[in-house]
Amino acid sequence: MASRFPIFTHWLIKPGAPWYAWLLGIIGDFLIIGGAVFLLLQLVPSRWRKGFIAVLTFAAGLIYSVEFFAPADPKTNANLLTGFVQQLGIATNVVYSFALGLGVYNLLRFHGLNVARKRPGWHNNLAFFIAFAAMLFAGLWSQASDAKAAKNLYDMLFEGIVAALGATMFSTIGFFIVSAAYRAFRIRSGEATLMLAAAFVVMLGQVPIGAYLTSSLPTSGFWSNLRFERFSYWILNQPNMAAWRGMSFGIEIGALAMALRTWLSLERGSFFEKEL
Amino acid sequence: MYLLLAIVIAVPLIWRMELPIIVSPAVRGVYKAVEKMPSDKLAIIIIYWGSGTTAENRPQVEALMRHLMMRGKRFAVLAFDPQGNEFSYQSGEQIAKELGKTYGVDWVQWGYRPPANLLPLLLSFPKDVIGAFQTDHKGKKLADMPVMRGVKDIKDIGLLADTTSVGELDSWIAYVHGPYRTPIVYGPTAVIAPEAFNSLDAGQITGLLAGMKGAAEYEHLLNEKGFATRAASALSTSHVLIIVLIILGNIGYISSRRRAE
Repeated sequence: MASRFPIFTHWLIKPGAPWYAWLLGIIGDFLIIGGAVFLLLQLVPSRWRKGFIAVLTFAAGLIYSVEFFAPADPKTNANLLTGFVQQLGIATNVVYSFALGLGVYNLLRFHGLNVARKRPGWHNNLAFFIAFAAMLFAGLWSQASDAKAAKNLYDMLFEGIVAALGATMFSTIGFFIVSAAYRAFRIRSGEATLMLAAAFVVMLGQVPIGAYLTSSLPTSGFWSNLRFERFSYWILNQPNMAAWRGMSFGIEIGALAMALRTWLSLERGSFFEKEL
Repeated sequence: MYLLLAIVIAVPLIWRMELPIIVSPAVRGVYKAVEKMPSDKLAIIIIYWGSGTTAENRPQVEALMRHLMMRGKRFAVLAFDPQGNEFSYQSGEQIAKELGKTYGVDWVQWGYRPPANLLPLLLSFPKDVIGAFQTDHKGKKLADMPVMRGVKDIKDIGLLADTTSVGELDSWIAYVHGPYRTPIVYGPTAVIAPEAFNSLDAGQITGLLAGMKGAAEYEHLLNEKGFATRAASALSTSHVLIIVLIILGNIGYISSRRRAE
C-alpha cells in the first residue's frame, strides 16, 4: 500500500543503494516539501494566511473522516483514501520525531546556559549533562556492539538507575496517600459516611486479605453477597459504573464539540489566535 | 507513619505470606479470551506504561505473555512508552527462554511508537498491519518474519491486550473494536480500573486485569506464583494499615468534636 504513493526518493534512489543515499534522499524530500510549504506560506498575504491554514486543517481532518466513512472494496478492504491514511500515519511519526530533537535541544540549551553562567544550583544542571552523555553512550554502544560489557552497562544504567528512579518517584505517592487518607476520610456527614463505607469495602475487596476475612461466609446464596470480594465487585460494577457512564456522556459530548470547533477553525483563544 | 508503611510493605515481601486469591469474573474473562483466540491469528499486547507503574503493569504483561506462549499462540508487542518497550522486551525474552519459544517465530517486538501517533496508527493498521509497522524494534522487516505469516489486516488479529497507566482504551474501542469487533482485554493500573467497568458491562472489553490484584488472579489461573502473587500480600497489609489509620483519624475527629461541644 505504501508504495502506491512514492515520494521523490523512490524515483531517484533505486533498491540496493547504500543507506546514506537513502538518508540523504529522505532529508532531501523533507527539505523540498517543507521548503515548498514554507515558501507558499510566505507568498500568501498575511490576511489570507489564517484562511489558508483553516482550509488546510479542514482538508487534513476530512481525509480521515471520509476514509473512515467511505465504503471499502470488499476484496482489498480499502477505499480510495486508505493509502493516504497509511502515508499520513508514517508522516506524523516523522513530525513527532522532530519534537524529540526539539526537546533535546531545549534541554541542552537550558542546562548549558545555567552551567555556563554558573547560576545557583548549576551543579544540578551539570548532572543532567553527565546523565545524558552516559545514557547516550551506553545506548549507542549496546546497539553497535554485542560485547557483554556494553549490555551490562546499559542494563545497569537503565534497569538500575532510570527504571528504579522512575518507580521510586511513583511509589512515594503511596506514602502521601497514607498520610492524606486518615485526614480526608472523616465522618462529617451522611454522604461522607457512605463514601467511607464504600471505600472500606472496595479497599478490602481489592486485596486477598478481604477474601480471607469473609472466607467463612458461604460461596453461594444470599449471604455470599456479603463476601468482600463480591460486594466490592458489585460496587464497582453497578453504582460506580452508573456514575462513570453519566460522566462519560458529558465528557464525550464536550470532546465532540471541541473537536468540531478545532476542525472548523472556530476555536479562539490561546494556541489559536493569541500568542502565548 | 512512613516508616510503618515501609515495614508493612517490606515484611510480607521478605517473609512470604500466603493469602487466598479469589479470581473475579473480569479476570476470568481475560483468561477465556486468550483461550478462545484462534491459533492462526496474532495477538497484540499494547504497552502504555513506564517505570512508574511497572509493579502493576509488568506482571499483567508477563502473565499474558506466559499464557499466550503456553498455548502456542503468536503475539506482537507494541509500545507507546520507551521504557515500557524495554521492560516488555526483557520480559518477553525471559519467558520465551523459559518456555523454549523463539523471537520472530512465536513473538515479535514491534517497538516504540510516539503516543501522539496513536490515532494515525489506529486508523491505518487495521487495513494493512505490516504496512503500518514495517519493522520490529531492531529494524528487521516484519514481512520476513515467520511470526507475521498470514497477517494482513485486522481480520488476522485475534486479540488486543491493552496494558496501560493512562487509560487510552476508548480510542481502541472507537477505532478498532467498534468497526471490526476485534476482542479487547484490558490491563490498567488499579487507580483507573473503575472507569473500565463501563466498557466491560457493554461487552466492549471481554476481560479486565485491575492493577496488581488482577495480575495476581491471572497468575493464579495459570498456576504461576509470580511477582504479583508475592506482592499481593504486601498490598493487603498496606490496605489494612490505611484502614486502621482512617479509623484512628475518625476516632480522633469525633473525640475532638465532642470536646469542642
